[in-house]
Amino acid sequence: MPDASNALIPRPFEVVAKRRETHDVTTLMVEPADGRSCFGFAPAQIGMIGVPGVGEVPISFSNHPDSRRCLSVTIRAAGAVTAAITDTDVGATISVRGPYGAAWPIELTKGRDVLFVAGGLGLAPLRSAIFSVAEHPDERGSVGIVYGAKTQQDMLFRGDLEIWGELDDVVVHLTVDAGDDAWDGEIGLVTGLFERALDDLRNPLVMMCGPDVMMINAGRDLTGRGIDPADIWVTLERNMKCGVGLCGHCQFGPLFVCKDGPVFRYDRVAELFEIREV
Amino acid sequence: MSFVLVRSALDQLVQVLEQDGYDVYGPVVVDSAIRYQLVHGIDELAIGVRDVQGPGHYSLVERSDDAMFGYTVGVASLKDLFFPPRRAVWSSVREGGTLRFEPAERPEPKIAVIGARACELAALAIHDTVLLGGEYKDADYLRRRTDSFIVSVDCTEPGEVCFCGSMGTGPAATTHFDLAMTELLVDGEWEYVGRFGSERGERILERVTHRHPDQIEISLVRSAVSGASDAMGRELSTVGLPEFLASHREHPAWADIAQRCLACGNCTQACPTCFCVSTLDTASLDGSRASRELRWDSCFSLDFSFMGGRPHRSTIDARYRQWLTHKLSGWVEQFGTSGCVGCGRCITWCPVGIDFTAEIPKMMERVDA
Repeated sequence: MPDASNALIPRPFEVVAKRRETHDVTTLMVEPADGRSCFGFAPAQIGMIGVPGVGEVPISFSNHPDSRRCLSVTIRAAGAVTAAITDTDVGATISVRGPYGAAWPIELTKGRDVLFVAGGLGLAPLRSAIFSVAEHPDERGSVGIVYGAKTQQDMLFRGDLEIWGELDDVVVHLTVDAGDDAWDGEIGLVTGLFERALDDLRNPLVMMCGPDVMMINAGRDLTGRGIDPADIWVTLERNMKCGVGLCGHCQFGPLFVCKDGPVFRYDRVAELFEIREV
Repeated sequence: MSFVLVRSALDQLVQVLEQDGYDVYGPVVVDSAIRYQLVHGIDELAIGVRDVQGPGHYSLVERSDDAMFGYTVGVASLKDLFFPPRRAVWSSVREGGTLRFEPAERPEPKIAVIGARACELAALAIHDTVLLGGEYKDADYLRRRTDSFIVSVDCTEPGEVCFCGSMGTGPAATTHFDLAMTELLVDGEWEYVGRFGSERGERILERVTHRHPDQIEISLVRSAVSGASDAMGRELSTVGLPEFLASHREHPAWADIAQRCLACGNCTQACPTCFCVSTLDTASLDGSRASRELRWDSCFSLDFSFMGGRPHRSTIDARYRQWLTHKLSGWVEQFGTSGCVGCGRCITWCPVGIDFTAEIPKMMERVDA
């Protein structure tokens, strides 16, 4: 638990490794550089990650949740802060504070079939949850992973997707918006894969992360196929300056994405999803 | 449980507070408007002036008397003192491959305020809930609020844009003061008939010349305050309002208001409860030193909702809706109270005079029609 009276003071973390995931997405592995131990997190919880003098952004940790030594953050260089973070060299130091917010309801997957739905960078906040669920076949039912990206080159964690696909009772379904000669898989939206994915699953718990428009369409599609809205969980991304409910930026209707979310049960947000620019 | 001060005793009060290490702030005329400023005596206060407020209008005029608190509310609220527009958070130093963060130094003196209004205390109560009531506290606000001393003065002449009566926040202070007073002219002399809000208030007042009020003075206070309630310039029916706004996010009124709204954010800056902040980092040229500060932000700016390379709320109607729906509806769900105290500043300081106490009934009529 971070010191409540000093919630906005970050800690220095050293970049110990970097992996380029796609042309604009980088994963940084970081370790505490202040002599204190690393903090744990629950899947989908966020950290405020920054470069002093540039700024801070909210990022879900993408590493295996059992990793106690270091954290991973997977970041698309989209603006000044994310570019400064992803440009940080191995051996240099960035700022980290957290973890904040509500996690994926991993406890609800016990004995159940599970469907993970990810779009684009949305696989990063799901990665730790997929590890938590997929690696324990005795505690869960069948697992489907549906992942869509712009192109094959934009797919994250391709090595993980292969490993997950080889686990017992785990099926990975991939699609891209635009194919090329090297792609012989599906082309189209993630919703196009639902029929096949749901064939293997009975009454699944759904965890979904992607752009708003993807989650809106996927939510409509899944509920239209008879999935209970209370069995669907989504994680939202919004502008955040504090991560702890004090800056006001991340509000989504009456909800604070930072402290009420970022994971929400779909029936709590479905109505707001349908309204433009809430 | 109550007391009377003559005007000269207010100077003693200022001195006693200063002796106890307080910086004393009071309403002062600055740049043709009333603001809270550091004062050392009551002759610096806004004596003998009245404010004329209306949609998009604020001016000060001379009163026919020399009342000391003969205006309604100034341009800035207590927010300026307890939640100032720019606040340092930390500084960082990179040295020999290490990075270190130091919390911002906070050596400032304790804050005392004379002349706070009931609506401003209601706003302070709201900020206490928002900034201190959750799991994570605003450390800087907590420091400024701790050991603060507040002397409120009830409103006896509400203004044209006031609706504290509708919001249940005034015109008399009921909470969050150490001393509360009502200014009365009795037989040609100004008197300050007061009550205690805290033990700290009682201890301070022991050192100030005072006497007990008589029955006439107590009844004069009652009639002055109830007269103010009856003369409120505006009203807003709050029954069912949070639910109405939450369920009408797609009402055509938002687009109508957006045609007038300049998205300047004045309402959010003038509002005593708006708490949204952004961060601003600065760094030395070689990057070895950096610092971060919190700055008031506004949900009317495009930057506010910037995400993934574009603003999430690109239209003014979405931004106005966010502000008003948060203030009057979402706030209730989040913090258990409305975010509005009925001070009317958002009406006065709106350059185009948008007045939601007029817009909301029109919205409701369009739904009913």
